[in-house]
Amino acid sequence: MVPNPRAQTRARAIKPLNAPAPVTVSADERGMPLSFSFGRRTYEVVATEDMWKINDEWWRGPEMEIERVYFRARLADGRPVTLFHDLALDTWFRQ
Amino acid sequence: MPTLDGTRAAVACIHIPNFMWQVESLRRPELAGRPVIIVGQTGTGTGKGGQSVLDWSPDLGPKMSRGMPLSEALSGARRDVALLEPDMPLYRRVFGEVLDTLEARCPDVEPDAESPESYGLGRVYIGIWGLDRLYGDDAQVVRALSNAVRQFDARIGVGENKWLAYIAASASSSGRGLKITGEPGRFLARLPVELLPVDFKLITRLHGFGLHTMGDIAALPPGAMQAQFGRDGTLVSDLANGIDHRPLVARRTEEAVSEYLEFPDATVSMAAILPAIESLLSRAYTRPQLAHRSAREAKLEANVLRRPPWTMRVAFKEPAGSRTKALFAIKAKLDDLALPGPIEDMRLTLSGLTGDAGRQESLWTEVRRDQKLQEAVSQLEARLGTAPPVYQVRELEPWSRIPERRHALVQLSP
Repeated sequence: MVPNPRAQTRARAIKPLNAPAPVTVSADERGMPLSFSFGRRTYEVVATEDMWKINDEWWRGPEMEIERVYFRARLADGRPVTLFHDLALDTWFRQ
Repeated sequence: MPTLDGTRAAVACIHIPNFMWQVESLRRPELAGRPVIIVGQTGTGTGKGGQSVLDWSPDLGPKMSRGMPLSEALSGARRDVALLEPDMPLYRRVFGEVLDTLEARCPDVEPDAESPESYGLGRVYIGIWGLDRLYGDDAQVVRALSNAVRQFDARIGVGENKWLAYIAASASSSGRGLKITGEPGRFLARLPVELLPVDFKLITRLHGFGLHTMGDIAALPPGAMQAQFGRDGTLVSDLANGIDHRPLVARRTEEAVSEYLEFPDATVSMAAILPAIESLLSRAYTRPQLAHRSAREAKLEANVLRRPPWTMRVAFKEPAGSRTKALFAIKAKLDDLALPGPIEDMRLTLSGLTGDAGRQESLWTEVRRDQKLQEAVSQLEARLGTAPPVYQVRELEPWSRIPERRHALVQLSP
């Protein structure tokens, strides 16, 4: 029997689907991801299959501007993964 | 009974006297030469335990009557008489096979509807008008019919209506046909009232009034009979005069698929019975008759150890087109049921075969689905004491280039 935790749920909030999660990426000199760490594990990228850039909402100013470089990569175990480099924040995310 | 083309109709009656006993004696040859009474709860018997006579062996004589209380029957019978429990599923199945065989020869076959449960077994009416072009004269038709039921001691009669055909069959000898032509009154006059298709009590009352033969009844005005016996009086008066207005209604042939298995040991365990039903359903659904078709009804029949046979009907809410669907419905009914005892075998019959696999849906399925969902969420909220974490995916900006802005999880509110 699982006891009722009596904790209040935050069900009323809108949860975005496919929200980006920050990761630590080691990239080569061209900025292509070689591996990334998510939680305690590190994943090796064996191939980058696609790459594209998003530049949006630049009219909202440098702080609100969205500038991302996306990479569709494949891991060593064959799983696909989508990573992006947020150029405005200089941070990597997994999506 | 005139037909559509104006000619006089001819009806044949095949009467298999003591049909249940004949079936039993075919199944159990050791009963040969032994007086037998098949005992049932049907009829109006009020004697020993409410039991009455369903059928009997011919050596018990003409005094026996269907529906007679068992105590009365035993008082006049020999001491070594054997009392048998009826096996109605078997009798009905054998009778169905007889009807099928007859139908292969003549299209208009009507089982006697006197009482479909028991009494009508062993008596069939057949419309034989127009068959002379196929078989020749009536004698040839009778010969063809006689061949169809040659495993039984059957009597065949031909008359202008069903009653006269039956009387002719009753008066004929084994394996031979008798045809009543012309004025039937003289022929009927000497026959006993026991032949009338009426209740045992009415026969007793007729005897009480001194009416022992058809001639006695025919001599009375119909009004007097009606005044004394009501509707039955009119019927009896008409029949005694050879009048019968009942039309011949050919039976509707029902396609069915039947499968059978025997258990190694008699069992009451559902752990053994359910796989058996599943196996029977698997066999039934691989039959060509059920290819791409559904069944509307299933019937389970079983012989029960030292008890009367057991029967269960399951009408499917929607036609079952697969073993799984049929098994689900049968299992649901079996869950609420206690078997009368250990069963020895099982026969499964699927009937009401249909090619329509359609199902009735609500016009407003979306509305119904939402209502069900909202009800479930309300119940969860009442149970948890807070808004339950139940979400639905909603489109926010499906055109957005930024993936996380396209869809979101929104709480489902009742």
